[in-house]
This record gives sequence, structure tokens and C-alpha cells, in this order.
Amino acid sequence: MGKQTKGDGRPLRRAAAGHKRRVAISIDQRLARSQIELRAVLDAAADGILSIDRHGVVQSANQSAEHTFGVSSGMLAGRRLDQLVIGFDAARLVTLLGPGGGMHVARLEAQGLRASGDRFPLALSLSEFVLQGEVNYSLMARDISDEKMAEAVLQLRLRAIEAAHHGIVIADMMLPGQPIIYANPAFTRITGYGADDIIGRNCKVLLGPERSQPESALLAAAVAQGRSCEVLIRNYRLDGSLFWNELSISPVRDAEGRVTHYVGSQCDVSDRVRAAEDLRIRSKRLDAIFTLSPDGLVAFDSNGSLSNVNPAFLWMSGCAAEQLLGLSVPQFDTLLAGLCDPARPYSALQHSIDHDRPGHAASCTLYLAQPSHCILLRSVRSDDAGSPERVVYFRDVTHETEVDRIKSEFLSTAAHELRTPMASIFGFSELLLRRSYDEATQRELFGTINRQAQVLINLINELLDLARIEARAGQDFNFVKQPLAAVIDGALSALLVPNDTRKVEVRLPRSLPQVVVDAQKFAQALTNVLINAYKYSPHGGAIELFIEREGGAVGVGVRDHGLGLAPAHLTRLFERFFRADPSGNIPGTGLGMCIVKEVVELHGGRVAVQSALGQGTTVILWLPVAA
Amino acid sequence: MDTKRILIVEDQADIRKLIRMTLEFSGYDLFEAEDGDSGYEMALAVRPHLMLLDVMMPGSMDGLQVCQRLKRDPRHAHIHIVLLTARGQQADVDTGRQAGADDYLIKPFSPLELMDLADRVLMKPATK
Repeated sequence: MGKQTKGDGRPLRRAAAGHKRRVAISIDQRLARSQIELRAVLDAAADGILSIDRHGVVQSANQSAEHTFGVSSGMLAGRRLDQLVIGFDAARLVTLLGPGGGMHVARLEAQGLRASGDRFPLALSLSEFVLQGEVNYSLMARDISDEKMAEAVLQLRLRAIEAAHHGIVIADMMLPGQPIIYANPAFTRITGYGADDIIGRNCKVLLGPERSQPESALLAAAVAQGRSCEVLIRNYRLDGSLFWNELSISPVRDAEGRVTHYVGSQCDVSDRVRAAEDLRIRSKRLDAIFTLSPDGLVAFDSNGSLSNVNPAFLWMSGCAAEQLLGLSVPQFDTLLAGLCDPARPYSALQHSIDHDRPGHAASCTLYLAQPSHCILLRSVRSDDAGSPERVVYFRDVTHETEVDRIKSEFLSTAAHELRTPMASIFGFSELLLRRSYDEATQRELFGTINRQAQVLINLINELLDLARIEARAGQDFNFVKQPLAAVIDGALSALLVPNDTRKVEVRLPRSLPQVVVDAQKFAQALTNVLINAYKYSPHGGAIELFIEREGGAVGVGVRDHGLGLAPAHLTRLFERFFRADPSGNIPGTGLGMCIVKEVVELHGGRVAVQSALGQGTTVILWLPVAA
Repeated sequence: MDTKRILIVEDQADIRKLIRMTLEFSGYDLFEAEDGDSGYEMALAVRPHLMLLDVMMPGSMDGLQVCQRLKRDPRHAHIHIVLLTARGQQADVDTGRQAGADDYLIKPFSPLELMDLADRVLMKPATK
């Protein structure tokens, strides 16, 4: 500092030499004062200020300069500039400012070198001045490390935004139309809009044809209130294809708190939405299966607690879901055992679980007494992965079991029915072989054998008819749309009743509708009903055939005035082998009405019977009228 | 020695006739009933030595019930009851035995077999 002062003082002393001493003193004083003031100003400057001579040597420097270059007070003067600023020797100064004489100013950045050897960024402002015919330089130097660092951080952030997986856009809220002013590459990747396509446009362009989505209104409301907002919205790419955008927007405010920008972050979650939708559809489908299944399903979760039960099981058990949910396996066993027929052993579910093998379904049969008598087949299944979760499956096999029972009963009854005529045939033929009878008795016995053989044949035929009708379930029926009158006429003309002179009294309306029937099968049903009318009115009385109409149905009715049926018999009319007269006086197999019922029901119709003991019977075969 | 009485209880007229014709020359008194109820009444009235009883019959009592009622009654338990049935399974035979039947004839049966059975039962010295 001392040297500097001396250097600066030289011209002042020379100026004072030409003045009187008193005046000189006064000038010296003023100069000294000005010098001090200048020093103070220079030292107060934030930037380093150095004066350099034409050889590139520092002549003087302020405190900031010493601080910037990391040297002690007064130690800068006399140093070469290129020791402080890399590459800045005298030649460089000349190159920068020209060969001298002008008042050039150069601004540039350079690398500073501290006394410690550290390099640092410098902003330089350089100008020249001429002193006593010699070019000198003044240099303002500012350490811009902080600015550079801030800039680097900004650059890093920008690069991070550019590298982000999410699409990021910035909209300027101060400009009319609130246009997008920035879009990162991910935005382009997601939307297909390049920065050039989108900058200057409003974000709403992404809404495509769906401009009035509710989510769009949510966004607008958030923007109006300067809030952040997150939505899942349907957006459209530049090529018009749809994508699901998980969009979040946040406001950017200035110092006064005004929203100047909005930053939008978007993520294409189409795959996730699609997967979620697939999962939803799948679980909805499984739910439907679970709910609609006629079989009972009960699931225990991994804690062994009953977690799901379907309506079929609730119906089977007569329990409410609340009673069942949360039960442990032993509690469930207790409940189920309580519903079972005490006479039948209950096989505990816990036992099945304890002894099951992964992927193997253990089954057992339960005989329920409550809420109704039914037979359930229970299977329990654990998954192959050995998870403690269990699905227990209940199938109502009451019907199958009943069908099995009915079938064996039917076979046994059929055998019985076949043995009965056989007993006569076998017995009488043996009597005829072993004994001598007069011709009249012989004829009578042969007649009985013949009659019973006919019964046997009819029985076999009707059994086969019934079996065929049931097995094919109408598949071999030849349904044809035709006038009902023709079908009735056909049946009547073929009707053959032995030993009876009565004619069927037919009362048909003038017009009869068309029906879709297998004429042959329907005629067989009608014939069976007519023959029954004859057989069960052995003492005479009219046999009437009439028509009834009811909505979309037409009824072909047959009425007799014969024996009639007791109420107990009426309910058994359609049972196989049921005979209203079991004495054998009225021939028949007990299958005729079963066939009538099967045939009419396969036509989509039904059989109605009215009867009172001693007053005759009315049978009406209802058929749907053809459209 | 009084004539042995046989009661035929059978709903099928042809079978009644077959049994009657089979046994008509054997010198027994034959009685007939068409159903369980009248068969039971007739058994009380006629006090037969042998009863040929059809199992499946209409009415409030079938053959098994008639058999059971008679066999449980000490006054009639001695009646030799032969069940006639078209069901030939072992289960049916067992049910008949439980009802107290003495014998079983399965339809169709041979008239000779029936004759032998009747003779064997009725020629024995009376059990009572």
C-alpha cells in the first residue's frame, strides 16, 4: 500500500512544485484528502481494481483485488498480470485492446490464479489509459465462482429435467393463451409432439376430441385458484391415439405471490390402466362365477379365517353371510355339524385339511337335515404353492342321489311289472302242458296267455317309447307348423278301440290355430288320453273332444263320464306304472300318461287334469299357438 | 279230518285264477280276496291253514303289513304264510322274513312248485 501511495503521489508533488509554499501546503492537503477519499472509494468497491503498466506489471490494486487473488495487503503491486490471470501478459493486453491510443474497453472471462495455486473463474473488464505518454491499463476483476456454480447447478437441473422419464412442460401464465414455453424430451416421447409443435400452444390440445372430460374441469378449477392438482385423464397423441395421462400440475409464483407459470408433469400410465382394467374385468368375471355358481363356495384366508362365501352356500346352509365371515375352521365345522343329520357321521373339514395333499381335492358326503334335507358333496382344495388358503366347495348332489334312487326303483318296478304278465303266461302254459283240459277251458287259457303276452308287448313298447323320448329330449321330434285341426283329425281317424261302439263327440270351433308339433308324437299322446277315456268309462257315457283357448295357448280337451279318480290317485297320475285300477280288469301298463306328459311338455305345453271319483275325468293338452 | 283251507290274497284276477286252477284238484277249500284289507278280514273269518299273500297290493295294507299283523297276533300266528312277489331281490326276501313270512314264491312261479309247496305245508301234522 505504501509503494502504491508513493506512486500515486508523484504527479501531485510535481504539480505542487510551481506554487507558493502556503498555497502548496493547502493544495497538498486537498490532494491528500482527495487521495484518501479515492482510496476509500476504491477499497469499498466490490470488484477488484488494478492498474497495470504497459509491461503487464501491477502498479496498484484495491483491497478487493488482494482479496480476490488471495494475497496479503500491499502484495499485488509489482506482480506480473499473467501470474494472476492465466494467459494475460502484455502482448495479450495489446491484442485485446489494440495498439493503443483508443479508449477501448474489453469484457471477457478468464481463469484467475490465487496465491494458493487455486484457479477460479474471473469476469474481467479491461480498459487502457495513457499516462505521461505511456499506455497503462486498468482492470476490474470479479470472482464469478458463485455465479458459475449457480449456473452449473441450473444446467444440471435442466439436464435432469431433460433426462426425466416423466414428461415436463412449463406454461407461461402471464402470456395470453397461457402457452407452453418448455417441453422436455419425455413429453415428446409420450405425446409425439416435438418442442416445436407444442411450444406456443395451450396444454388443452392434448385433450383431443374429449375436451369436456370431468378431469379437465378439475384442472381448470385448480388453475383458477392457483392450486396444485393431480388427475388421471384421457389424452391424445399427435397421431390421434389415446393414452392415459397421470398428470400433476403445480403453480410457480413470483416474489409477490402471483402465479407466473405452471409446471405440468405427465406419465403415460396406459399400460397400468389397461392392466387394472383387465384385472377388474377378470375379478368381475370371477365374482360373477362365484356369485352365480350353483355350487357352494367358501374360502378361508391364510389366517384360517372364513373370508368369502357365495350365495349358493348361504342358500344351502340357510346362514347369513355375517354368521359365517370370520369363522375359524373348527367353528365352521361346529356350525356345519349342527346342520347335519345326527344319524349320519359328520366328517370334519379340519380333518380333511389336516390330511390333504397340495393340489389334491379331498371329498366327502354330508347329509344335511337343516335347513332342508339335502346331500352335499364337500371338497376342499389347497393351492399347489402350499399356501394355507383353502377353498371349500359344496355340490348339492341331492338330485343325483335321488335320480339314482328313482332309477333303481324304476328298474325294480319295471322288472316287477314284467314279471306279473309273465306269471300268467308261464303258469297257464305249464298247466296246459301238464293237465288235460276240455277245449273250452283250453281256449280260455290260451286267450289269457295271449292277452298277457299282449300286455307284456305293450309294456315293453311303452317302456322303450318313454326311454327314447326322455333320452332324446325331443331331439328326434319332427316339429312342423301345421293346422291343429289336421292333427286332431289324424289322431281320431286312426283311433281303434276294441269292443266299444261309442264314437268320440267332437266339438271343434270353426277356426283352429296353427301349432308347431310333431304330428305323429302328438297324435300318440292324444290317442293315449282318448283310450284312457274309453277304458275308464266301462259303463258308457259320452267321450267328448273339445277346444279351449287361453292367451297364447290352445287346449285340446278329452272328457269322459266314467270312474274318475280319487284325489290321492290324481296326484299320482303321471307316475310310471301307476294304475288307477290295479286289479288287472282294465288293461294297461301304467306308462300311457307318462308318455302324454313327456310329449306335451317337449312341445312346450302342459297337461291339465280334472277328475272326481265317480264323475269322470277331463284331460286338457295345452299347446302354445304358433306365432 | 277237516278239509284244509287256503286263502289266496292277490289283486290280479289272472293270478288268482291261476292259483285256483293249480290247486283245484288237490282237495283243499280255496278262499279269495282282492286286496290287503279284505284279505286280513277274511283271514280272521276263515282261519286258513295256508295263506298265499301277494306283497304289492292296493289298499291301506300291503301283503307285508297283513303278514305282520297276523304273525304278531298269537291267535293267528300259526297260519303258514307264503308271500307272492314279483320282486326277487334278497332285500325283499329279508323284509318278508322280518314280517314273519314262512315261505316265498317269486313270480313267475311254476304251478307244480306251488302244488308241492301247498302239499308239503298242509300234509304236515298240524302245528296246532
